[in-house]
Amino acid sequence: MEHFVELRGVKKIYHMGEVEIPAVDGIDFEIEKGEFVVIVGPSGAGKTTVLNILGGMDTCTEGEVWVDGKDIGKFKGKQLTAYRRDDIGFVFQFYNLVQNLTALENVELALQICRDPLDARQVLEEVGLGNRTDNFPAQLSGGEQQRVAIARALAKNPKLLLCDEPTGALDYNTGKAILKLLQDTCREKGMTVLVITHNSAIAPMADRIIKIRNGRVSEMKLNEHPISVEAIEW
Amino acid sequence: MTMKKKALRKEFYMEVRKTLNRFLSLLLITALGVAFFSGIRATQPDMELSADTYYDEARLMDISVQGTLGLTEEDAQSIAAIEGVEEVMPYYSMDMFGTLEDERLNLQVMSVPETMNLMTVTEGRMPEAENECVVDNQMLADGVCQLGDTITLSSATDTETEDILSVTEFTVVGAVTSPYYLSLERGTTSIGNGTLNGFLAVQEDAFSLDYYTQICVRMTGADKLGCYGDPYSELADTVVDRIEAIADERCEIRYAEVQEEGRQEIADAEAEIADAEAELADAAQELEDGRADLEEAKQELADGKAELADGEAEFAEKEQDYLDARQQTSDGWIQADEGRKQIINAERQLEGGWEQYEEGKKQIEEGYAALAPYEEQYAQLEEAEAQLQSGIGQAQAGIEEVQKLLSQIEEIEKLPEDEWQPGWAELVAQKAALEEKLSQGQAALAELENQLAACQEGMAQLAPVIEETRAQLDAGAEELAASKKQLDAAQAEIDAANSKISESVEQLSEAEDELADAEQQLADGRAELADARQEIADGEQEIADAEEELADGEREYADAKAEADVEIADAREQIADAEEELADMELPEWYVLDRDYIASYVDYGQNAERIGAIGRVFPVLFFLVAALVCLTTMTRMVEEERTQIGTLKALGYSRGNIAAKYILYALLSSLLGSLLGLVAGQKFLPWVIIEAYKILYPDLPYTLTPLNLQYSVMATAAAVLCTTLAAWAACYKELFEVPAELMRPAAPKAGKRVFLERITFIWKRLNFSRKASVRNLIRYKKRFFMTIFGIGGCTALLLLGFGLKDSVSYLGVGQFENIFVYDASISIDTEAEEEKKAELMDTVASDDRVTDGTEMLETAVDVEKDGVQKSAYLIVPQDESVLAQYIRLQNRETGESYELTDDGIVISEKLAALLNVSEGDTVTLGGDDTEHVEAVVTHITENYFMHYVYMDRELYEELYDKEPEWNMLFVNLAQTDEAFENQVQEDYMELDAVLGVTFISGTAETVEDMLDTMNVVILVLVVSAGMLAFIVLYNLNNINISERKRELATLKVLGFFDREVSSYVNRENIMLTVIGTAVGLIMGTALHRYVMTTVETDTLMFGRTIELHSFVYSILLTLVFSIIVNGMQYFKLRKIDMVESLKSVE
Repeated sequence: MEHFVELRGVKKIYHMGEVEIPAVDGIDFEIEKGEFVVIVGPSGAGKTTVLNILGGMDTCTEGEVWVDGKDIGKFKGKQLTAYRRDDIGFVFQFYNLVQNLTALENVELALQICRDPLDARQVLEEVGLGNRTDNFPAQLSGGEQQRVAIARALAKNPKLLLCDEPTGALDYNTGKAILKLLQDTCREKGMTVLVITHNSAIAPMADRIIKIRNGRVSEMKLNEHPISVEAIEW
Repeated sequence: MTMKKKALRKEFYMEVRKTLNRFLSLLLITALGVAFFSGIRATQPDMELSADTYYDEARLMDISVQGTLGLTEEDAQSIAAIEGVEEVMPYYSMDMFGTLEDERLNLQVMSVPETMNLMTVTEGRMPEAENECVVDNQMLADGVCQLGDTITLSSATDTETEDILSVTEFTVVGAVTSPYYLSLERGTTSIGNGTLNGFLAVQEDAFSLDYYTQICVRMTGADKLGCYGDPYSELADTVVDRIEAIADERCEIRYAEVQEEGRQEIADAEAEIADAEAELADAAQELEDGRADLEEAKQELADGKAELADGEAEFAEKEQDYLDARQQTSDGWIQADEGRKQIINAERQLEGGWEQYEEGKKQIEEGYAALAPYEEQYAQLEEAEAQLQSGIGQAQAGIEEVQKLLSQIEEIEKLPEDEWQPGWAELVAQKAALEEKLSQGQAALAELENQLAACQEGMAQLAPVIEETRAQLDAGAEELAASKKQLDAAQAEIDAANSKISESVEQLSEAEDELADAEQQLADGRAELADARQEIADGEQEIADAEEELADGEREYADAKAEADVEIADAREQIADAEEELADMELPEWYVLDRDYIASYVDYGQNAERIGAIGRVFPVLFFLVAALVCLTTMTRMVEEERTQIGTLKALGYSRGNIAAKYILYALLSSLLGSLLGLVAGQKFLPWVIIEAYKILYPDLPYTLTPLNLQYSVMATAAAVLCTTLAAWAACYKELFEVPAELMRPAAPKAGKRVFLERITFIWKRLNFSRKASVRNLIRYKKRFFMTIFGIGGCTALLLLGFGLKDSVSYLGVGQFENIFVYDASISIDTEAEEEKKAELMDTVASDDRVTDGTEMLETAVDVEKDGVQKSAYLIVPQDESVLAQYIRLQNRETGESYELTDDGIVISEKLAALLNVSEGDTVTLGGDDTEHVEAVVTHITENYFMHYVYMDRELYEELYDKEPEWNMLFVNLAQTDEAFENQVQEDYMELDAVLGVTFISGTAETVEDMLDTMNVVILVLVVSAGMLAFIVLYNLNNINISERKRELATLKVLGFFDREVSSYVNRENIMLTVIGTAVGLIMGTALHRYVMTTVETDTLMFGRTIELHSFVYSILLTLVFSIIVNGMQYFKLRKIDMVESLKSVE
């Protein structure tokens, strides 16, 4: 497979009794290594389902999902878990930090299960929280918490960083800062980052923009000149 | 708060259905809590009710009155007249020895109670005759006796048996149970070896006691009161007081009576002494008479001897006469024989003559005989001649007739034929025939004439011959007649001689007869003489005997007199004593006792109380844990529905409407659970426990387990209130927040550093997940304490259950393996002769089976300190240096061994505790009939069963001023198996000095059996605790998971395997379990200590320690429950959807 990530005819159909409800109805796209990808679409378009399938949290009903040469669409149970722990970093809308662990510990929580982790403290410094490592989530602002979450995802040294509305719960400036962090990470570390959002305004910062509507890819375009997030206003 | 809103009502039903697990677990946990609480609590009243019902039915007396001098009919009447006394029943009861096939039993012998303490016949029938009895059912069950056996009763005290019973041999006709003895124990007695073997009832008439030993009283209205309750005790106290109020008066009357009786007896005794003296005098007189009689007899003997001499002379003379006569007779006989011989010769000659005569006679007769045929022939000839002549005549007549006829016919022929008459033709025809006949007749006539001539010729020849012969014969006959005449003459001569001889023979015979008579007379005379001689000899012997007798008599008299003198002296002394005694006699005293003196009544009550004590602690803890779980569950439920509450509020529903759902949910589940628990708990638990106790109280016929209103209401109210209030409280907090706030997620609890982090050297050593778990534990404080308390409570309950068992079991082990280390005790009959005792000692010494033994004194003693008095056994070893081989005196806690010294006594631990005595204190020892002495307590020794006082021999001698009477022999045996022990027992029981042989193994077994019933109670506790543990853990885990769904989903997204997720959660659970268990162990130990002291009765001390294995069991069981619950949780965790992590916080 020439592409780093490639989805071919991915369908996810929920059965509600007799009725078939397709959440995703035949998605095809591909992503190259080191790209900053933004998937945009309105609520209910199926972008979260795509994220779930790509993140190994759900399986597709039909189609192929190739990530770094493996068809994870065929994975089941344990293989999926192993895929999640080794290949995927996940950033949630609501951070999903373990409240009871300090920032550092939240990062360590992820590290203890993965094969080739980065140094937690160093990652935290990289996300700009070098001096808050011993704080509990409740002592951190939303942005800081999201940084911890990103650090937790990055420290695993994943192949793919998936972010589900990472700015959804943040104010404008903080949201920007987070997006900046993600963009920098992509640029500086060559990390493939995939951000899902309903906010199409941030699309210009991406290398690749995938628009999803009604369970299908309505448009996919490569952005030859992505602009820095600081330049974007919305 | 009814829900009028249809949508809300529907939502409620849906909620119940959706959360059926939670609803049911709430229901079940309430049911368990209520069942356990009300069930265990109700057990005490149920036990009491069961017994009370039986007591009322058997009309068990309420009060017993006993008097030191006995009681009379008048006493009974006076008591009956007291207010509050419904009826009285005077009766006899006495502890006596019963003998049955060489076995001696200690029996309580009583008259059959007619109106109270009613016995129930289990086999056979009640006695119908004076010599019949019924025995204790237990004696039959133990095989001590059987129906049809005969038991001989004898007094065990100074009182004569006949003064107690008019009949002493009784046939067992039935077996009965008595409400008096509910348990297997028959209690103690002051007789024999101190253990009652059972009771025996006979008809009242069989008693000959002149007073009653006891008056039983039933109180008015006591039936309606539960006998173990306070109102009953108060009533009993009142009536006891009233009876005691008349006691003094009655006692004085009784005193006067007994005094009078005593004086009468003394008078009688004096009369008896007088009689005895008179008897002695009589005896002396008799001796004197005897002597005179002897003299007389001697004189008579001398006379007799003289007479005998005379008789002998006379006899000699007579004998001579007889001999002479005898000679003469024999001469006569010789002559007679001679004469007889001559006669015989003459007879022989005569016979010859006669023979010749006969010969001649015969010849002549022959001659005549020869002549006879000739004469006959002649006669025949004569006859023939006559016949011939007549024949000739006839023939001539015939010829003439025929000629006549012929002539007639010729005439006729001459007539013409026509004149012929008819027939004439015929006649003419016959004429030829007639002519024929005529010629014949003429021929015959000629013949006959010839014959006649021949005949006449023969006759002429014969006649001369016959004539001659006859003449010769007649001459011979004449000669014969002459010789016959001669012979007859000779015969006459011989006859004459014969008669002469016969005469002389007759004379001789007569003489012989006379001689025989004479001989007889002589023989008689001789016999008479012999008799006379014998008589004299006898007489002499008699006199000799009489002399001896007299001598004996004199000696006896002398002895008897000496003895009688002593006896009379004694009797006088006794009379003096008796007089003194009468003078000294104290006023009698009445003992008015309520049922508390009935051992099995009290014992049973204490057992019920013991369960009650358990019921005060166990179920409360149990209930608390259950309530806490309900509370948490409800709180969680409300918290989970925070958003919904907010929505409803925003929609404008009132607080009441919203809260109603949760309150109703709690109310419904807890109420249903309570009702279920009430019925199940109160029916099942008391039943199980009472049935278990029936092993100890087999005669209790009832198991009553009614629903107990008080505990039902209490438990239900508590359970329902607890759960419902929890729901209300949880709602209350939420309901006062504004809807907007409610719809926003509750602020997550902030993470915090825990104190452990400050102890860096520990914290550093923990790996990351442990750190996380520790912090999690501390973060969810409510859950933490709830779980700790829940798990701890379960562990505590389990430990308490096992610990109870340990303590109860330790009583047996501790007492009979660690304290009493001897193998057997032999009761020595102190009344036995010294040599019998020596025989026992020799047997023990030479018996290989007995390794060693030592004598001790064991006796009942009352120990008193500051007015508190307890009964104990006093043990005095003969050799205190070997005491440790039989009984160990030691400190329970330190194990330090104590020695007996003459400084003071060692008393058992529980006794010390009850009397509040510590080392160095002084106590008073005494009994009914022993003097009271004071002794210093030097040590307090470990002991679990009964109370003991150990005293040094020297101290005993010093205190009591007498040698201890060794009545026990403690021995150690080579083996302790049952067969071996049975053999030993059998062998030793044969010795006269042995009253009984008791083995420690046997006693230990009895005690263990007794305490086994506790096991059932404990099992109930353990099972319940286990169920509780399970439900609590399950519930708390559910709450934990549902609270942390999001966190767990995140972990999953991060790539945690299911195993890792569950171990992340389990680690916390395990920690909680470990901490909870540890806390539980501490709680359990404390509870155990508290329960043990409340559960104990006076004479028992349970072990104070919980065995290591019980800790292990409790821990393991808790862990097992925890593991099972955690295992179930694994599947729940797997089901958590990772999508949860993406949702916004609810």
